[in-house]
Amino acid sequence: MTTRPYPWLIPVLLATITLVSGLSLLAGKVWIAPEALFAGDERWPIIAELRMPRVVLALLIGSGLGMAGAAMQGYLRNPLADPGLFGVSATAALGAVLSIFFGFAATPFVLSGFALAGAALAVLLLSIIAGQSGSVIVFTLAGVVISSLAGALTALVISLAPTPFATGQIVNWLMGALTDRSWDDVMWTAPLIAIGMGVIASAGRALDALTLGEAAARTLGVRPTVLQAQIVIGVGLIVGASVAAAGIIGFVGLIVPHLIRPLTDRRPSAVLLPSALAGALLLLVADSAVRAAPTVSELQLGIAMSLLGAPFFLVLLLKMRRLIG
Amino acid sequence: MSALLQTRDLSVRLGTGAARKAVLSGATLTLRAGEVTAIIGPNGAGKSTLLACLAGLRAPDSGSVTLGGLPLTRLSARERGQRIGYLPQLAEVNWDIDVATLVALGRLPHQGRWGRGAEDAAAIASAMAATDTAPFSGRVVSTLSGGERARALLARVLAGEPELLLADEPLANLDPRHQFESLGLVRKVADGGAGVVLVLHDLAHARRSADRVVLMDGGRIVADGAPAAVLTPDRIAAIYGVASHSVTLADGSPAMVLSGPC
Repeated sequence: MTTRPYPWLIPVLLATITLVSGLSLLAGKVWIAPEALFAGDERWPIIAELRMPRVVLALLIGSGLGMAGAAMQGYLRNPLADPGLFGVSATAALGAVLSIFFGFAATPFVLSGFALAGAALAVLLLSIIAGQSGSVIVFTLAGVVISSLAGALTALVISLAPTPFATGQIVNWLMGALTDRSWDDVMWTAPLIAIGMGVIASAGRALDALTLGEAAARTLGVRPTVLQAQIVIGVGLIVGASVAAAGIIGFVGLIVPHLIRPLTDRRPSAVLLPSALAGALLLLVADSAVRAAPTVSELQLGIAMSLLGAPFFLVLLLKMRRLIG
Repeated sequence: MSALLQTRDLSVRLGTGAARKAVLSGATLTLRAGEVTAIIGPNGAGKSTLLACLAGLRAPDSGSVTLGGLPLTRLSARERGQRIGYLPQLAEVNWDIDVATLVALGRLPHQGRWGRGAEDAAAIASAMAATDTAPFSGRVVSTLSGGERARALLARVLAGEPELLLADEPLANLDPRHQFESLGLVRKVADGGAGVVLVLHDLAHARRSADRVVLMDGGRIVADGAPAAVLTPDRIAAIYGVASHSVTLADGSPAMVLSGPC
């Protein structure tokens, strides 16, 4: 068995993203001919105001989640790690659910603000619980605790919802979707995700060193507390912004690094950028599919991802079982 | 030979409250460049703790470690990484990386902002040549035999061109031939001017291969000097509870035989 990175991986991903983005702008419940891509056409507003922000948001969130997943797997040295593991997505969701509970669902920016505050709270709690230890185990357990607590509180809020309509709104939001998103959503999501990705990219070398275990990594110049802060802030920004903009979209961060890793030399840093690109592509394809699917009401993106992700996870488990057995 | 690393009165205590126990007490040691030092002692003697202090992995409760005259704590993590190579007892390799990628990880503390340069490539090539790992550079580490794996892990440390090489039980899990090969390799490293410290369990190897033996027991250094002077039958009987005999082989080289509990 040998590993051989594929030099064409990034160019192919970029080319495919460009192609699918173009198609995604044209496809939908109504197919728009390519001529409309040139300004002046009366259908141009459909593309510029409805489809384009949605495509950009899918690319942003997909790339962020893909990279966050690759970083989490590298940091925890576990191929089954997922960006949701730290509890950031659960607390961001709790924040958003609370804003709906208090009747702010339709007020611009309030829901996103609540979700981001939830994500920030998770990051703060993680830092307090895990403290200065830099220990991966304490950190993971802290994430699990925060995640379950936020999950329980979310269930409590749903059960206390004032009207069945509010309950419906909450449940619907939790499923995750990119429907009816505007350029305003892109404007505040883009910088948060971009900074998060930058922070994660700066941890690439430390993640590579961690391949040799914590002790060896420290002797290669890695400072565990700095690395931990980079991961918490990077993943926190990406996941917080993603959940605030689109609800919980699972599996992207889990699946994508798996698909990408065999096409690289398998160093955690080598998986980061292609995972971002493949994550963007996956979410764009999934979102375009749910948008163009001939269903009466649109299938939620979060559900589509889970429908796609669960069988993948099963195949992964069966493969691992074969390797172990 | 010049002093490379010095420790003064190193003490480490583990546990809390009444259960707090000293695992290292008053360890004072001077390591020199070009010398192979074997740290030996029974299980729980404090060998790995001492090595962790030398590597900067554990901060002693009291005492100091200086590298080239500078306190280890004054060096940045990166500088320490550039100057000290450390091979842990249970070396892990978490992803299915190939040997070339593994060895390149040893250059991480040296690399510039934009990745590997010509100097890094040369150091990697030289480490792979020294350990004879180039022939299987494309193979995944998890598919290597124990001997190949040990060489690849050593190549990773050598790629960093450390002034001081610290290895915690590098001979564990190796068959006798590979044990000798590994010791031959670290000898070459010392001949190249680096200081080498090995935690060893095999007294015969310490006797034969080290320039100097540091014998530990109960967290203290009980003897430090040339192998013949430290590894006396009386001392080994007192500390390990086994009978030992110094012999001279046909080629005149010294050897040691253990004959059982005493």
